[in-house]
Amino acid sequence: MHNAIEIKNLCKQYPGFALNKVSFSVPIGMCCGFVGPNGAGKTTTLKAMLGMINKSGGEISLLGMPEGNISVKENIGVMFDQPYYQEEWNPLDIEKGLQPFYGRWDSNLYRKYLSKFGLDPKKKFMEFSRGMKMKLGLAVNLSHGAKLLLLDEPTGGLDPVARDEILDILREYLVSDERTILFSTHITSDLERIADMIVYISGGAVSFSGDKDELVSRYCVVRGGKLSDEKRKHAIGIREHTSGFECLMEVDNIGGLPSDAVIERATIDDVVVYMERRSRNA
Amino acid sequence: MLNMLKLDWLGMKKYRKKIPLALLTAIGVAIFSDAYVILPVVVIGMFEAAAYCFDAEERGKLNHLYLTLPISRGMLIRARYVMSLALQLFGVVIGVVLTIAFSAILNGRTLVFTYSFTPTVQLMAFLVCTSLFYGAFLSLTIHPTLFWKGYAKAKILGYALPMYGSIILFVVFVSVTARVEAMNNFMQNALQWVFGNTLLSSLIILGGAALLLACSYALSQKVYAKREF
Repeated sequence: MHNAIEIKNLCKQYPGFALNKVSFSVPIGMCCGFVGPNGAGKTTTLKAMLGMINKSGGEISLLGMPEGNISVKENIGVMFDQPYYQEEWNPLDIEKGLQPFYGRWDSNLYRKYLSKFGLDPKKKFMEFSRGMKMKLGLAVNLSHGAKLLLLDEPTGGLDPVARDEILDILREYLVSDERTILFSTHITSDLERIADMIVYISGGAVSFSGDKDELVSRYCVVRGGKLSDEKRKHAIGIREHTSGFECLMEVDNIGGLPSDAVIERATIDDVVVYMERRSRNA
Repeated sequence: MLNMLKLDWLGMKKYRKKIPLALLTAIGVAIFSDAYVILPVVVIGMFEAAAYCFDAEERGKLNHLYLTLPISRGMLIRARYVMSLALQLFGVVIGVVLTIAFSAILNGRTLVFTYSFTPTVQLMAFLVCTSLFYGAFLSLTIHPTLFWKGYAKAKILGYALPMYGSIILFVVFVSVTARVEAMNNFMQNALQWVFGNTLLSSLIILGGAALLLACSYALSQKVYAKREF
């Protein structure tokens, strides 16, 4: 088994939205950023991977096992925008409830994480802050020996300090080569820090899937006064204003730009924003 | 399945204190009406209590947790049915004890009227079976609706409507029967047969309950397999 995640031609029809033959794979040991604007299909794809929705077509394989294989979930940790536990539960209740489902649950490790993250084992879940809840969710997922973490907007709504702490935990998790993360987010600065690869989804279809550095090195942001018609054909998501223009452009196409043009390295955020602008203007 | 049962029970943590309320309600009703109402009220109270795990699931969005656990949807359904049955059977045991105790305490006279109910083995068996039958009837209407639409919608569609609807229908039926001689005669004969053959009629009612429960379970499996979150 080489890939932790393999998705081929995943389709899901909704009124007004469809996942259209989504295909990508994530090799074992990678942290994959799953990016795209709101409503692009990130959560739908994740839910299809977990069997929370019924797909219309396509194939999903997680950790080498086809979807529907329940035992594979023993090796998967999942976190949505927040962990979902009963509000009256405390971390000890959570352990009591979830431990029997996971053969590799490590109670000592769980207690260690609770202590490390400063989580009171007897405090009710509803009394934790959002950042603490996320840490608790991670403590649970790390304690059952998950080999694959599926995270849906785990840092959304967190303050920068809490985000930084969560990213540190994830970085530590990835030290072992056999662990993989799929990290859906639209806070792309998080991905600049921990992702090895990016899957970019827009309008229910995958626009890019590959190495993060390849994505950002393939494009650059160009700003200038006026763009020739010839160069305009290569401009992605061009925005024009009174003093000139700005757009995304493939590095291969930047030759012949006007001398006043400023060329900057693109960030993941730039790629997402300009690509989206192009698809909206199309 | 035991793990899921335990998790559901844990999910009902804040609801469990409501369970004794079913017992108190039954005792209160018995003091005003008759000792034999204790058993069905306790059993239905326990049926209601078992549905709290759906409420807990919905309020805490626990389906987002449950569906990520290494268990199938079918296992989750089985656990819910076992929880419901286990609580109803617990209700049967408590109900039988309370019925016998209160029959002795009330000694044929409640706060409102006198009666002649004596808790014989046959009558208690009949009460147990009819209580379970009513639980199975409610299960047929509420469980598939709970699995299909969730607790908030199901408690109106699948629970309140059938429960109060069936009570209203029963009252209408009794009123009409009392006024129409042919129906009255038929019911008299039917009741005479039922109480003359208590054991057999109890078994028939229990068989009916099992059938309703099987239908309920099959429907729940069908609708929950299609449900999306």
